[in-house]
Amino acid sequence: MSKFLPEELDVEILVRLSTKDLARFKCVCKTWRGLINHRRFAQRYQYISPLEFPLDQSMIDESTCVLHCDGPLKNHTLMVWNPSSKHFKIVPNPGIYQDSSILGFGYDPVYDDYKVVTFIDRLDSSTAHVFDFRTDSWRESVRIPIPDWHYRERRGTFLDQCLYWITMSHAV
Amino acid sequence: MSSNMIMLKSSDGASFEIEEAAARKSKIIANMIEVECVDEDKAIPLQNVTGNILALVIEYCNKHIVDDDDDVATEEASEEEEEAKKKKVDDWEAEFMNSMSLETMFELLLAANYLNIKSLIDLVCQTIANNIKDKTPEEVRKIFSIENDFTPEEEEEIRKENAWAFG
Repeated sequence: MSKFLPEELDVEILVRLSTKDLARFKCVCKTWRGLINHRRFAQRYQYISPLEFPLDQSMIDESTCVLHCDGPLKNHTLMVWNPSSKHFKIVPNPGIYQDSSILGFGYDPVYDDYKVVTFIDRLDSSTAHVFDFRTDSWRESVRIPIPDWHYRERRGTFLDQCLYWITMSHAV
Repeated sequence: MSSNMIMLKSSDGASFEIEEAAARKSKIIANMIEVECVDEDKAIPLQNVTGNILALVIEYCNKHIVDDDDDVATEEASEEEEEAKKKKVDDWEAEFMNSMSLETMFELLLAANYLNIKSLIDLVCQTIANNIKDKTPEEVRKIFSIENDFTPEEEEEIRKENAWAFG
């Protein structure tokens, strides 16, 4: 910790910095890393420096990669927004993704890649389609025959390197 | 407007006269006024603030004494006037902060924290943040006198995880 200031004042200064500065300052010392990573810090940060979601075409940068698993945002076009760099990534959509589709977003540590997962449901099967940011393309993944459940919520939750959806069984 | 003057005394024994309304910007001093916490010279003793820093605090409070005056609102100042006033305050604050070193800012921040003057804490924190943005971790350690307690391997790992921020 700094010689001059108590931790609560370090925090008051840090919450006024950009997320890029914060990512860099995590390696200043262990105390600062702990302060920045703390859940309470995120709350204070959101209060002092709210992240904006600027829907401005000029911000869209196809080359950027996604660094935060804060969930994709959709507006007919599927876009992933990186709150840190404030860049958008438009996910190409050759008819795979629809507004009502089941959707998940997460980080795959095996391939070091961010991925979007959606399911195409038919009566006789449900097929997972995965978008790889590295290859910038969709591929068909697992196909589940005769799905006997429906989803409580469209959006999956990314937890401990896995995507989860809460579903309810059709069977009574 | 009442112009009750009160006396503040710094840790190194310097005395300052200040309008009570300005001094009340500090929650601590306001409290001390309520309970009549004064020393033998009828001054409020502030043990954690030195004279040179207290002078800055007083300069700030005097400048902002008008902000809280309720009778300003009744005049129904137009939006333009409000904006002009705000710009004047912003300009003054920028110049006020510009005149001091980082080391002084740290001392002023500690004093503002001790005296509980929220707007001054905000101002100094924002100015320090502006001073350290875009700096490297090494530069920041130096400014804050922070010792790097990571092993080279640990630091390398964090740098790798956050490589995008080092561009």
